[in-house]
Amino acid sequence: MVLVTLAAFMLVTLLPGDAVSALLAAAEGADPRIEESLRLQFGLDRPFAVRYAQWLARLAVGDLGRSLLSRQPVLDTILARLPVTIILTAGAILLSLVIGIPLGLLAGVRPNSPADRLLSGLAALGVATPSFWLGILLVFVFAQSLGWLPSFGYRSLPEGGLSEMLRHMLLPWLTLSAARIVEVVRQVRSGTAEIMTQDFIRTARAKGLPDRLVLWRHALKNVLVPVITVTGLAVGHLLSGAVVVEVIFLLPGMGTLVVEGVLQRDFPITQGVVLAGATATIAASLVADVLYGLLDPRVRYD
Amino acid sequence: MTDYPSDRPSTLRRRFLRTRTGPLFGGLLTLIVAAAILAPQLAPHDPVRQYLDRTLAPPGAGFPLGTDDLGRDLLSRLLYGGRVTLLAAFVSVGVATLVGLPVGMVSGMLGGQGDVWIMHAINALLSFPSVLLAFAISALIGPSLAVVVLAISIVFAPRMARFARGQTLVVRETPFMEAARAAGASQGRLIFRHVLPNITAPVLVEASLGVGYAALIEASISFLGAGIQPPRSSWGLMIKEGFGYMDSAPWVAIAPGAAILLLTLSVNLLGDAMRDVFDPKVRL
Repeated sequence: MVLVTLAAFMLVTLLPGDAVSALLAAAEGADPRIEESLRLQFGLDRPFAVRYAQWLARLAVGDLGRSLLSRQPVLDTILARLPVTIILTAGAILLSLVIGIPLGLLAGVRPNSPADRLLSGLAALGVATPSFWLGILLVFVFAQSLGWLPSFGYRSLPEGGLSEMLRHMLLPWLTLSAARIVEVVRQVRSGTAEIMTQDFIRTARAKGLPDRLVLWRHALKNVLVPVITVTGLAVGHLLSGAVVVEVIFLLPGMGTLVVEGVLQRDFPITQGVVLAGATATIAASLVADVLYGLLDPRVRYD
Repeated sequence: MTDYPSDRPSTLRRRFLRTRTGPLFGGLLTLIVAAAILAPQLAPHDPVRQYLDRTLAPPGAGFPLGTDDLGRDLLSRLLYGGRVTLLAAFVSVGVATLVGLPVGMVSGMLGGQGDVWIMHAINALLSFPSVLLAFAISALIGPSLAVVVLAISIVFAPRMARFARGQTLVVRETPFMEAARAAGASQGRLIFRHVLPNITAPVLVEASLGVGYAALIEASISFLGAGIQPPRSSWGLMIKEGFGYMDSAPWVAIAPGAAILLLTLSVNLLGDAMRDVFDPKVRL
């Protein structure tokens, strides 16, 4: 985690074109003395280690600095944008599990059946599709051609109620979760195929349990544990995808925030969002680890 | 007794031909690469020439894939854009492997505190969302092809290092390594003469899967506006350019997306086939 903060800090400090020259680029032929005094004001004249230590100290009390352009505190800006990104990512995770688990079971129970082959083909296609292209195609089909769903924008619960929010989020959720659905299907499929050959499944069948019960009661439990772990590890990927999805659908989340921040060279904003993304990734894999231990009593930590 | 195939080149070739996907997608990939290399010969038009009386023309005579909003021939742009996308994908995976592979092997062979610290650094880099990191690096330095390659390499190198370390740990415990160590081989000799040849196959497979991944990242950061800059083009940038015209001219964005899809699909399935070819336990 310490190394993460160091890397995030280095990201913006080691790159050429510092904040001052970016600010002054707008005002042409700026007085060199103004440039100098601004540098002093931002403390950019001090050595790297000193600036890093000061930045860390402020970070520890939740101060991420202020945006260079809007002068708003970075933390407030991020917190204002956070709910959209959380709704987008959490919805995509839920969707990937709800769709992926049944399909994976279907394919895994009878390996090499027509259903399994069809799903494997779709999975190969799904992994190779650029998510933003898929999003554009979905907009084209469902919003522009059929007119069923809005093509962009966001409505929060107070603004439009539940149904309006769902209508606006459905395409973003589908776009973001497509690649995850494929991963879940693959994992559940191989897990199920392996479990079905085990002795305890044969026992359950032998004592006369119907196939459906064997599957849901005995097999599913064993298949799900690794799915949860991998879902936790995939949060980083989902956040990457969320950046692009938010840009396509013009959702006011952290993704659009960071894209604006980067393109306008607003370093504190960029730093803050990148750091938040890394923190969320680490937290999610930690949660997955703990859940894994709770769900599978055979796992022990020293 | 199980009859394991040998790893002589002739056996590998026979096993490769026996996978159904290998030759098919290997051929497709060759076609894509050849089309990009031969772009100047194959392209029917200059990729930046604007036929202003034919803007957003649908696919048809003269313009096989239609034209974009500036009246540029899409097929020609697709061929030239492919050079940028393929170059960025292959070079960045190459750079990432050149850096990540030695780091991973050394880390795995060292063990102890050195290994722990190298892995901490690698995990720190891996905890940044990949597209976000590549996009930020590329946009903040100032986008160009070299910077895009650098950004994707920074994202992919730690993955390769972690993969190479995992493979090294497996090889390290084998009896032949113990024998080499007992015979007094130095660490360097152990790494290059004994570890490297034994992890080359899985590393190659991982790298080929990485090419597809790199192409997707390049497309994403171009789409976000921090990749190759106009008038040059890559497939990701072409999708971005077509995004605004989906209602009137959907072919502008559909063609480059399909091209990325085919590229990624063929490297992924080729990688899967190669994995089966190299794995003696898989019957083909």
